[in-house]
Amino acid sequence: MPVVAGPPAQGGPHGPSTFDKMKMGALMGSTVGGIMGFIIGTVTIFQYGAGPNGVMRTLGKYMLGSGGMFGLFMSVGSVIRNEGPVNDAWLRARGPPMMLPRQNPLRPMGQ
Amino acid sequence: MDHTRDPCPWVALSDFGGAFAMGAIGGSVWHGVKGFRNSPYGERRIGALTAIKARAPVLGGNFGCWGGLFSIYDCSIKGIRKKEDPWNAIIAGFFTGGSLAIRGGVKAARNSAIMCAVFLAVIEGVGIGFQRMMADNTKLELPPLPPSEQKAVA
Repeated sequence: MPVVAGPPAQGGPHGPSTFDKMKMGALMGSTVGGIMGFIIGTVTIFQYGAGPNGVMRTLGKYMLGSGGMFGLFMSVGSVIRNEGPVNDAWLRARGPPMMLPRQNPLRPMGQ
Repeated sequence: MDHTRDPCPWVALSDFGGAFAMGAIGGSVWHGVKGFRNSPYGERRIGALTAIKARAPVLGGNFGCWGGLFSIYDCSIKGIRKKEDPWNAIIAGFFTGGSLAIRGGVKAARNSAIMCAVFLAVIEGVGIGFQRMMADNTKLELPPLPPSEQKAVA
């Protein structure tokens, strides 16, 4: 019997919430920003010297500043990409049922 | 490939708008904090508001330029290469950085292009890493050991 991908169970998980998306974006942005800060800070230190604060403190400042900025911007960016009511989950819940071929014969339902 | 995004020529438009909104909202927070901290006591709130009004739309415009141009290049490169892999984004970032800095001369354009390509490479790498990390959670668990072995281990 083919599996019918119906609407998600009531009260069950409905995919990532907006806050989850924000956390994910912030985490990803901080990682990207930290790495970018490391790269740019290293280049700047090699080009212009570390300044009066020493190498480690300057590099750390670069990494933290860039990480915070990217984390903020990417958390905003992942939240504003909400597609309104016509998104994938909504279409699956409201549209005609979709028939999917069963791929693994002995897979228990509900996974 | 995700199907939640628009088809190719139109994705540039929605990317432009998304990037503008991202820059404007994020810039409000960023320049609000910055304007608040850089103002003297007693004028902190008005200073923050002035900084937001002056700088957040500009930052949104910069983000929008970058995102729209990047999306246009991404689509063009997808059409030319007929492939979908991280190199698309990296090459598009290279051209975007080069185009945006072209007024500073060849050297500035080259440096900016390389920086942007590195940036996109970092983003793609982190994205792949995060995807792998997320996929790790849904991996099938090993079945529990049979009781006799468990006792032997314990």
